[in-house]
Amino acid sequence: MNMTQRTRNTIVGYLFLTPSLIGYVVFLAFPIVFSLIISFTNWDLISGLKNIKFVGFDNFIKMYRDVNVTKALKNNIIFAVTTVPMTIFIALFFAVLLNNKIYCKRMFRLFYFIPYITSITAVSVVWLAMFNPSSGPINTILRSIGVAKPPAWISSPHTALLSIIIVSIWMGIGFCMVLYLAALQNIPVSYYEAAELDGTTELGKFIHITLPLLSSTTFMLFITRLITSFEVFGIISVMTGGGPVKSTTVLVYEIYIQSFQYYKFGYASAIAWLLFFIIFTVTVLQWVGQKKWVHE
Amino acid sequence: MKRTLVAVMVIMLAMTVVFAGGASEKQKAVEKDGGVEKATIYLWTAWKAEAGIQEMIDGFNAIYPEITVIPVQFSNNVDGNLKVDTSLAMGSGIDVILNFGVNRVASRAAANLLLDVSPYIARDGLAVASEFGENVYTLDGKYYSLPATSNAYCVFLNKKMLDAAALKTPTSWTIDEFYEYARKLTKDGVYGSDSLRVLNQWLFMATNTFKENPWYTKDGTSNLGDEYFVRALELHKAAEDAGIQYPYTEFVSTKISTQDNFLNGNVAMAIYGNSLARNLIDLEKYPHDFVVEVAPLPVMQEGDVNYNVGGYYGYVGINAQTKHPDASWLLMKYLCTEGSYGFMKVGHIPTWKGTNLDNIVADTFGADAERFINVEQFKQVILNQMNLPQQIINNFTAYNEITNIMAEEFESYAFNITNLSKTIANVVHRSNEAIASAQ
Repeated sequence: MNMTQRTRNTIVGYLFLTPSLIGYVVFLAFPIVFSLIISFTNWDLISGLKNIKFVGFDNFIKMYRDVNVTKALKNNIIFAVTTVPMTIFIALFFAVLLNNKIYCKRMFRLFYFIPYITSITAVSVVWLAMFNPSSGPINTILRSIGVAKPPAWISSPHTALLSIIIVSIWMGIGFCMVLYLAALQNIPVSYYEAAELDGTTELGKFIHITLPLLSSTTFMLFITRLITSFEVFGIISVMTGGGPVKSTTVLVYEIYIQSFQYYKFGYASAIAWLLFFIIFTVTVLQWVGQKKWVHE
Repeated sequence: MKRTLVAVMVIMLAMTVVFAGGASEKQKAVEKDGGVEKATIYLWTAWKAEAGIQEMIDGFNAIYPEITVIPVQFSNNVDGNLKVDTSLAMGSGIDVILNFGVNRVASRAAANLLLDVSPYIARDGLAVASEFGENVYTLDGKYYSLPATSNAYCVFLNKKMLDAAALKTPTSWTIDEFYEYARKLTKDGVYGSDSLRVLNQWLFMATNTFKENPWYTKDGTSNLGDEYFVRALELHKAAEDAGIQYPYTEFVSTKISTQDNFLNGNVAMAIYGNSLARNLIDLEKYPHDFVVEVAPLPVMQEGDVNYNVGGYYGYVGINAQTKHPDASWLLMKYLCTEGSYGFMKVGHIPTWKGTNLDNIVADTFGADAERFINVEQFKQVILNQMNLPQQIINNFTAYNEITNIMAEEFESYAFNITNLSKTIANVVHRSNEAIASAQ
């Protein structure tokens, strides 16, 4: 057998790749393709593949009439347009603050980062206690400063989503802040010195130097946080179970209910593909839009 | 080359011997020993072994020492049942399983996950109707399970508060009389009544007046627009609004269980399942100084028959793909008959007719039973319930979805987001859609 060195190298290369390739195909590529296929079927998992029934676009049509899916989509959008900008804005504020010479800088950085690395379940349980309308610390403080009827937070359909948003922002700040801090370190001091010579104010320096030079970090954060926000599930599952009155349900939670509670894996996959399509579109739009405001 | 060939042949020979040895070992393991095969089987229930399951296994092993039973605990919730269903579908891990509620049995039997035990029942001459009662679930005339246990829903009353209000526990009553009691029992800091936390159970007083399939009409559409359901829901909400019943909106923030509310003395009456009774003697966990009385669930109006909304609950079945069907059947039969008494420990009522129910009072409450509960009422309402008229449920179309639809819409009504007519209209409309898409 006459193999060229090149062919031999290729074979060896693929052999090295095989283990991870198998993992990728079995745990990622196959499920993705499979979920696309079953989104056009009715399939209940437990009665086996022989009972799979093709229904064409039925599952996708059904979604538009499903009040829970439309409510979930609405909640998802509200959640995304509030948590993403708020998290990034607050993170930027603290990053700029902690980048300057202040006391206990390291300790504060740690404080803000801890929520991000704490388990969602632990965070949710603590916030559940904080939000307790009658005995929780938040309402106790509100009452002591004279608020007669403080909100019922997660126990009311009017404020439950707001409560989830507050916790999510609080959890996300740490991660964004660390990235901003790293980016701030990379801005050459000479730019600021030059601006000072020109007599620019502090605000002017922030708007004309800091913000533009942080724009690529901001862009990256917008994309990743937006994707994460559309995939929110853990905190909702633990804190509210989508309620009260479905006021905090989101698409991933509906996917969970349709699949693991009703065993409607076809319909659940269809919702999952709707979610993918939304995230994909939003991300593409952001890529297109970035040319206008992101400095390379 | 020759040496390599010899080496390979030697290795292959060695492997053949090893595997052959393995096979003969295996054959020996399933060899019949005095008519009973030796086997290890996995029994899935919702409790820890030490909660009473191990005692049942010990009782079984006293008769069949050849069969090793390994107890496995699962949670009877969405995630736990998903684990059960996938394990059954994969055919591994489970031999004998306790299914909670006929809807679980029905969906598992329909998906061919449970073994048809009719041949065993015929072989052993087990007369199901006389051993367990009428209306045991079958699919196409075949048995996929047997009901080892039942549960009962009833009204528990705080005797101290009843006495203070000069009221007596009724032996039968209507929904209006029930709420009248609630109104009279309401005092400062005490609600007259508390209901179940599963929202569709708010309708129990209407549900229990239907002989069969209360959620569906004869032609299979949603029956939830029936005037009985509308009235039961309306009165439930009116009682909460009037402050004579513990409000659901309050529960959403306190998360307090009906049982805790009742045993803490926050409410005078509680609609609850019989499992409340087993906690009465645990004074450390549930300190209380009153005797508990028991009344049957009210009905909508005088003359209505009270078909039990409880009834058969714990159905024992066998994994359709078990490797030890004979041994599994022996365990299943034991758990449903002589052994079923052990389920009393975990708060279920054995349904086997051979059970001596009198022992349950002594075993649940000890020698001083009257200190905790009105024994006569406990026997009459809870232990005797399988001798009362039974509701038949054999339609499970979109069952889980309808349960959730009711929960969502009733919650919306409780929070004043929808009114009564809109709530009922939504429930009926959405249930009909779910039924249509399931067919």
